[in-house]
Amino acid sequence: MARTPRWEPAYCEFFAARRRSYLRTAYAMLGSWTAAEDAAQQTFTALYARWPRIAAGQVEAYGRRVLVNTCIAVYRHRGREVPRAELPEVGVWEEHDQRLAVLSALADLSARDRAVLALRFLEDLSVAEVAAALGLPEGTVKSRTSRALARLQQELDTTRKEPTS
Amino acid sequence: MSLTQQYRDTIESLTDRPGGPDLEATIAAGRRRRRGRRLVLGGGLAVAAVVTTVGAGYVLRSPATTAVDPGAAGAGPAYRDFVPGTAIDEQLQATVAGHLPTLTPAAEVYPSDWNTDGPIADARFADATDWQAVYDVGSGQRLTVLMALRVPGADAPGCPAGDTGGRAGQPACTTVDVPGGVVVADS
Repeated sequence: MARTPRWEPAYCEFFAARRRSYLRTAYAMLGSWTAAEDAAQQTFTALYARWPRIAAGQVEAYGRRVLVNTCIAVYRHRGREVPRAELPEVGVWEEHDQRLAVLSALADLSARDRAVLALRFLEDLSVAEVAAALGLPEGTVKSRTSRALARLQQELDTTRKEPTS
Repeated sequence: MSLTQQYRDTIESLTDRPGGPDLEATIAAGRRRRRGRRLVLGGGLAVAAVVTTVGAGYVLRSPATTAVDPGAAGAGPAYRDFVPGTAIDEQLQATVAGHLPTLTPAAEVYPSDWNTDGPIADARFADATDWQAVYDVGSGQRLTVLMALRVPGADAPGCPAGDTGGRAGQPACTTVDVPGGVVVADS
């Protein structure tokens, strides 16, 4: 006797729509594909369990918050990782080096700073939306964004000056 | 190329591969968690239990089903008729009494569903995906017994993996096979 909750189709739609972006954001925060898969799965599971209680129109914001909190919890549990070993083989060394530089710079950032970057530049959220998702003042989001970008730029500049090949 | 574009390209290129969360697994895990949350309803519960229906007399049917209600039919029910129009509430009480004969009569029996932690309206009993019976067990504590449909495609109900919530790191949850289902007890 197959009976499903009335809201389940809406959940499935949400899953399909957000699956890839959650995975991408989780990867940007955790720097590990395996950890990102786990975090995204945990987030979607938590959303399913609470779905009927999430206020209408709040699913996106709530989901982002759960994702970020899950990633931060995973990050604290696992400790920092510099995922160089996970980089796929690429034919162009320059591209390879740039990816390394980006990942290396990310590894030096705090989990919240990574979250700020991911939400601002992968999810294309406004400062106000990022502030709401992370429970931070807008000014803090701006300063964290600026600091994280400066760190990224510094790492990329260093890479360009010291080519590996 | 701008810095933010470089960042975006890097992350997108590294995550452009198969894999990721699986919908079916997510729904199965989510349903297990929703059921688990119901087990601790009421805060002061001493024990909560689940009896799943696998036939054997406990049948929740579609809204088109016509149910016989011993209470309404005046057939001298041994158990209180909490929900007019169905016999499931009496059946649940009888099942519990069969396994826990020292319990006092149920304080409350109501239909519920996956959308709701507590009762749904009695008139909607045909939409129920589970039924709950509440018993006073003294010292202000209550026992809730939950009789649920087996979730389609899900494993038989059981205890959470890695359960060490009991005394001295022992499992807080135990399962007992009974005719027609399984009782999951979580202290």
